Amino acid sequence: MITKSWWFKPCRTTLHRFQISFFLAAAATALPVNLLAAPSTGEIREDIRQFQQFFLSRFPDVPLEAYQDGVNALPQYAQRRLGWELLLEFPPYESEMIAARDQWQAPLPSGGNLERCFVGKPPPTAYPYFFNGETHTIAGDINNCLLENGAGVLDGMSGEMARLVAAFKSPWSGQVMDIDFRSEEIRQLYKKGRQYFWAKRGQMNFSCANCHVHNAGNQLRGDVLSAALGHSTGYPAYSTTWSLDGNAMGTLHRRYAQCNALVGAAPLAAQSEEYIALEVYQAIMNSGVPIKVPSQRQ
Amino acid sequence: MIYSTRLKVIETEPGHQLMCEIRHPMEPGGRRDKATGRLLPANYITQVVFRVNEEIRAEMLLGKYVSKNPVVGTMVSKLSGGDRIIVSWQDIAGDSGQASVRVK
Repeated sequence: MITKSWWFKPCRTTLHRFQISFFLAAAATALPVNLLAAPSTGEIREDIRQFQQFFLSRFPDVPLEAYQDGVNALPQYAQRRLGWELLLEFPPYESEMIAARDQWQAPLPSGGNLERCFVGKPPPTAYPYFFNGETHTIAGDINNCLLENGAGVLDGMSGEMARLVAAFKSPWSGQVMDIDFRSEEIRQLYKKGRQYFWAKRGQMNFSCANCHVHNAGNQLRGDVLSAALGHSTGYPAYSTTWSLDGNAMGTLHRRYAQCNALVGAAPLAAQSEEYIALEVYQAIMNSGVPIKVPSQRQ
Repeated sequence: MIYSTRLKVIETEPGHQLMCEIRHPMEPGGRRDKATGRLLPANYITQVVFRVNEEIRAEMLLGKYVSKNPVVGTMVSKLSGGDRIIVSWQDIAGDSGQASVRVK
């Protein structure tokens, strides 16, 4: 016979509930202040070192720069890499990129264009950044520019947005990620993103880290799980899976939503605070990894 | 419909690899238009020929089961500079196309 301990007893009376909620409230107020504050830059640098060192020691033959290729960089994927390289002899995203560059320079209703909007802004390797009281993402800045110039905003999951982001990022291909995380707001987002990355969710009770850190390089049925290091450096990407629906180019947030759905969690909206926080966390973890846009993913 | 054909010659250790990409719908003839419900007419490539200096080196017979925008290729023995490679194809709708490159 199982004997229940006192703390497992269901609270049947209002008094019990009150006592428990009072206890929890007291415990919350007693938390030390430094647990609620944003992590220091030193702590973030230590996180980056530990995170990157984990993958560099797990896959000793893969240098840091190679992680821009996503799963294709891993030795477990070596047999299929040849097919991927063959595919890139005639890159499937070429026609998408031609449309993207045209759209990037196309005049907007007010006469300006997106290219002019982004003059003076930091390079894509420094996104997301905090300036003038708000956090800027590339997709967010594109929508701001469209609004200022009298055009309608785009959905962050749409192929059109993916093409525009790719048009902005592609000239910077090969430059390493370098996020400025000195501002308090970016560090708060970093903390939120870190929590989102490591917290379990969904019907399968998986966190991002379960697949892409603890099981990176292992097989999930016929697929190899990619390493979290280097995620987001290749996005927006041309996905063969997405191409079947005729909307092959997708943004990072579309990929996040797809990942959430795969583990049975409700996908969030593009440019939601959680996804921006996750983007900040991944961008900071990828410090030193060169971006490669456009790219091809499964 | 506008089709495009691109040809690449890649130098590899035993010889040269010829690769050709054809932008083609490769409609098998069994699919239906989602809007109207009518069968889409079949239109697929039946033959691809690789020639080196007018001499046929490879001939491929494709069918309806090949995916759209196919990339086909073959290995040939070592080519010399100035060799002219021609790839040509034809489909069941009567369209055809070709591309050529000269080996450097």
